[in-house]
Amino acid sequence: MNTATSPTHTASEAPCNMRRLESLHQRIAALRLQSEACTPDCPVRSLPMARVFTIPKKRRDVLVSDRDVSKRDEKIFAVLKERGEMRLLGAGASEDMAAAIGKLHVSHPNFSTAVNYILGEEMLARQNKAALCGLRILLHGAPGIGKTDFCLSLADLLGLPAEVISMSSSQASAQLGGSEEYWSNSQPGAVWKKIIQGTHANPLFVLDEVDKAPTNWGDPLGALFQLLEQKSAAIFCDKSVPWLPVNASLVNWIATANDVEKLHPALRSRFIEVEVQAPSEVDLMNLMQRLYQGMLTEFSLNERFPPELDMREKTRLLRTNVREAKQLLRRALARALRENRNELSIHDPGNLPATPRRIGFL
Amino acid sequence: MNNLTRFRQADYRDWQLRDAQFLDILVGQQRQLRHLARGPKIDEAEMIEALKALDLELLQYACQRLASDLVEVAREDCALLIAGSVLEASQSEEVIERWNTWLSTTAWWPQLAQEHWRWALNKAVGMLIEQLESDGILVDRVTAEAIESAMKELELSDLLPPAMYANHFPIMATELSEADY
Repeated sequence: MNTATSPTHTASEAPCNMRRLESLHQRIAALRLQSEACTPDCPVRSLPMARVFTIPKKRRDVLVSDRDVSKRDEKIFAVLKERGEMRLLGAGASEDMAAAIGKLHVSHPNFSTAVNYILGEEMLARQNKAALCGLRILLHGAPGIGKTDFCLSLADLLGLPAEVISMSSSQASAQLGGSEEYWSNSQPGAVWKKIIQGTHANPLFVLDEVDKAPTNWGDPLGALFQLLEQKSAAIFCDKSVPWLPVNASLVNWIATANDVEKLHPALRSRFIEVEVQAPSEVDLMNLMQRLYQGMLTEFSLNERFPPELDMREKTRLLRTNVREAKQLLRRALARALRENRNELSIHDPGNLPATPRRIGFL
Repeated sequence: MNNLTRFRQADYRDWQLRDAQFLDILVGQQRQLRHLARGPKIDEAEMIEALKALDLELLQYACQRLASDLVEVAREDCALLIAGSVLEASQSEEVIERWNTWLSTTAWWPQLAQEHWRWALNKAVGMLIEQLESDGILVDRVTAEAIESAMKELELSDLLPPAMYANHFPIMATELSEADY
């Protein structure tokens, strides 16, 4: 029996007969992901999974990269192996899912065009027994009509991990697509992190105020040209990890904008554009009622105060925006409690604008 | 078997446990053997006395115990290495190095690993599931069975790079490569 130790034995020899072990590694990694994503409300054991990358068999030549880069590559490799190549596919298309999305018709009535589009996509996905993947919607309309709130409510209903990126404060494409690896502080962008370090293959990204991305320097929207194109997104390479193509084609994207004319036509063409109208007076009244009910529930005051907000108070609140309306409602509730009253009286005319203005969601 | 429910006294025979002088006998035998080991320094009469005092049955049993302990150690170590290979995907090189160090320590580890592979696999399944659960991962019965069945298909050649496998198991490696053709 030969017992000599050979220093050349390493995993990088890429043994051809380790497939059974690799398959077990994948299984364990999937179990870890499922446990990570599992919440009491959302058992994910049965969720399907999709391959989002393939661990490269051969690492790049260490001669062409410095020691720090090699060390970083080692760490990235460790993450890739630990988390495995598969990610969960949330938002599986089903009747229940359609019913959940349909609730947005009630909570966000001025988004019915967007809701109908998403329901159509859900129906298509259901035909393939698939999940809601690859949404690319650009919601545009006046400020303060609830675009961001709609996106977050949608993510919540779909049960997908979501990330809101404020494009107005974004300074470079690195935020989405990573920074070039020759920088000493190079790091992957939000998409790579969300997919590789996250649990789902189809998370939801909300690009807030995409029309306000700075244009004088940097290019915060640059990475989107690749990420929003189905085929190129399937082999997306983060600039910080250029040797690892990642399948980002399943990611769901919703962008919001006030003025789409400011966007590059090539970028606009990658989205389904949906113009969102301001909510009607009736919708706003309903919103005020929901805010009031939400606050009663939050402070366990349902028994003490009437379930319906007085029409006169509602009308007063219409003169504010939602943020102000919430503040006024909260102060009115506090005042009623201190004065031992069982009804609300919203009177803070000093802070109310002189003329009614269109309002929206937070 | 669970260490919390198994008394190690089960490793000894009834007569050994019943004999109140058993430990003294062992110490005495050990003294005689040490005496004999001095070899040329003792005369023939002393040697004969020492040989007469040896309890051959007891010595035979002691060797048997040592041998079975070796097997047990090999099985346990091997199971630990298998579980590490499956669990520590991100540190595969370190795990492979651990295998190499272990297999290189003595000539009989590779032999015992081969002989007791199935037992070690069974033990490794238990270790792995225990570790996953202590990591907070819920492993239901169906998943545990799937893992067990996949693990039971593992061979030594699945866990080691070909060169290392050929180094420690030259005959098996030859058979494996011949089977490829």
